[in-house]
Amino acid sequence: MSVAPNGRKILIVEDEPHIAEAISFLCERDGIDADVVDNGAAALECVGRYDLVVLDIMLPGATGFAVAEAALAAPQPPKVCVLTAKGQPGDRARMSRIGVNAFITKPFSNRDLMATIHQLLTPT
Amino acid sequence: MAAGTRVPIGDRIRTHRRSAGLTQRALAEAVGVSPTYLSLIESNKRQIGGRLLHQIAGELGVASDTFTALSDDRLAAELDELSHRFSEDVPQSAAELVAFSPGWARILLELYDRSRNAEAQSDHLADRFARDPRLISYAHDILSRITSIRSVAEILCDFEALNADHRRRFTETVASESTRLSHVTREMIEALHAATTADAAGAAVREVDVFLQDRGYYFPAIEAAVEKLSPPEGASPSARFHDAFQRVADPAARAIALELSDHEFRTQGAAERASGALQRYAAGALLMPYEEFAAEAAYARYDLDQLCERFGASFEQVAHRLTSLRRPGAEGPLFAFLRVDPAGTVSKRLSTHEFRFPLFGSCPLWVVFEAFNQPGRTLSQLVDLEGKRFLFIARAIEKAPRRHAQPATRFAVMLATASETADDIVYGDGFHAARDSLVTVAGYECHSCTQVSCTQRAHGGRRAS
Repeated sequence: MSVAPNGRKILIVEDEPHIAEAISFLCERDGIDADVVDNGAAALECVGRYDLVVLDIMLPGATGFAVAEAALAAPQPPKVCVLTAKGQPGDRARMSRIGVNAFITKPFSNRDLMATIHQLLTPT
Repeated sequence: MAAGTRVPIGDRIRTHRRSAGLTQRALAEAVGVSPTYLSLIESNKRQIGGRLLHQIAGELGVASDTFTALSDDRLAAELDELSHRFSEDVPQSAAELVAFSPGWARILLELYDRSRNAEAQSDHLADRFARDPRLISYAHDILSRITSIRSVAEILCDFEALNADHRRRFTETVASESTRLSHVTREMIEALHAATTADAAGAAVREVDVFLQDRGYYFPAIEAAVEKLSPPEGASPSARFHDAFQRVADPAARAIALELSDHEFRTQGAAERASGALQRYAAGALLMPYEEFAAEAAYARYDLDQLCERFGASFEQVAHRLTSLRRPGAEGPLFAFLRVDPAGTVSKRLSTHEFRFPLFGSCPLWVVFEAFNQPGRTLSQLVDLEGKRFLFIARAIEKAPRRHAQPATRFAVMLATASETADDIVYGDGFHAARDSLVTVAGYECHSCTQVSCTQRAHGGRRAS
């Protein structure tokens, strides 16, 4: 797997500690600097400071939709990748409307997740 | 659905004659009629009954009521209803199918019933998964557990050179998440099982309704078992009914067991439910003894309020009892019975060969739904259903809450009878002067309804034939 460009930072917003730990481990192995928060409210405070936000939809504090909207409204918006247990068409339509860059349905493979993260971190 | 679809007697005679291996000539000679006459009977061009029917039955080795079985009429009507759900062009009439191949007709309906139940159950579960917060939470929890197990297991497989600390932590994660997954899955299965059990109860209700309907809702042995008992006591209709229920328990037990012994119930809990229904029938028979009730009902022109007062019974109890006035030689008008809740869910339906409630659904134009808007009033309606007229009588009923702050239980009860009997019934009086202008053109349910311009239409419907 290729290493992401230096200096790029991602925020993992996930309230399931084992999932967050696994993603964090994979990012570290690929040389990506990743921070983790476990609730929506904490994510809202810092979301504008990252290049990519990987976030769950069902979060305590604020929903993933609210965090995504706030991130994409920032002066220099990060890319947003949503991890969702919901595969319903309504959720997909809502994410597209908000302008989310990618979404991955749980349970996902590590290979697919990291390929998406690398793709979103590659400057266009 | 056609009102009162009946299986022609001639078709049944022909089927049984062929099964017995007899020619038309042989049977005609045996019963003393000409082969031509028997041919006309078998082609449904001559009506027969009485002695000749009895003789034919005897020659064919079947009971004479085989040719007039209510269960076959019900089968035909239900098949007719289901045919309209699938096709405009039905290759064979439902009555013919039942007459020629009753076994196949039963299998067809059984399959349809099962598929409808499975469909309803899957819709119900899908709806619960979308709305029930507990199930949504279970589903989310399960997916989260699976996601973390999959992700961590892939790491353990893909990275052989993991340090000992990482390997231990990830292995522990797989173990702990697997344990949690099995717990939450078991909890979800238990929650789903509870829902499935509730669905099975619905199927049992329908099976018991069909059993009562096929017996014509008249049980002479039970009537005889309770007629000598002393009348029930109590300050209210429910107290008197409860007292009657207790009094009939032993005396009617044998008659009830006999009625149930020759019927095989398929659904779990249906036999117990049928036994309860017959026990309530017995209680109703004690509270409203047949001869006295039939005479008073005819005198009062089936005024349910008067009968409630006279017998100290509730509206629903009286309405129910009216459906059982089928004693040969002392019959009352043929009443079908329906009970619905405010959401339109049918909790009891007893059809007659004249009026068959649909298997699924009902028509929103029926007065039974208006009854919820006018509590305390007995409403009537003259209805045109596919060219045949019926008198509907309906009233909303309320059962008081058992505890403070609990809502009252509300239902509406409706009786339906052919308009020909309306002259004998007090509720038909208002329709004498201007019957045509007061008639409501309605349907049975939208799938089979031909009223294409109806503003209440919820489904496509079918062409008028």
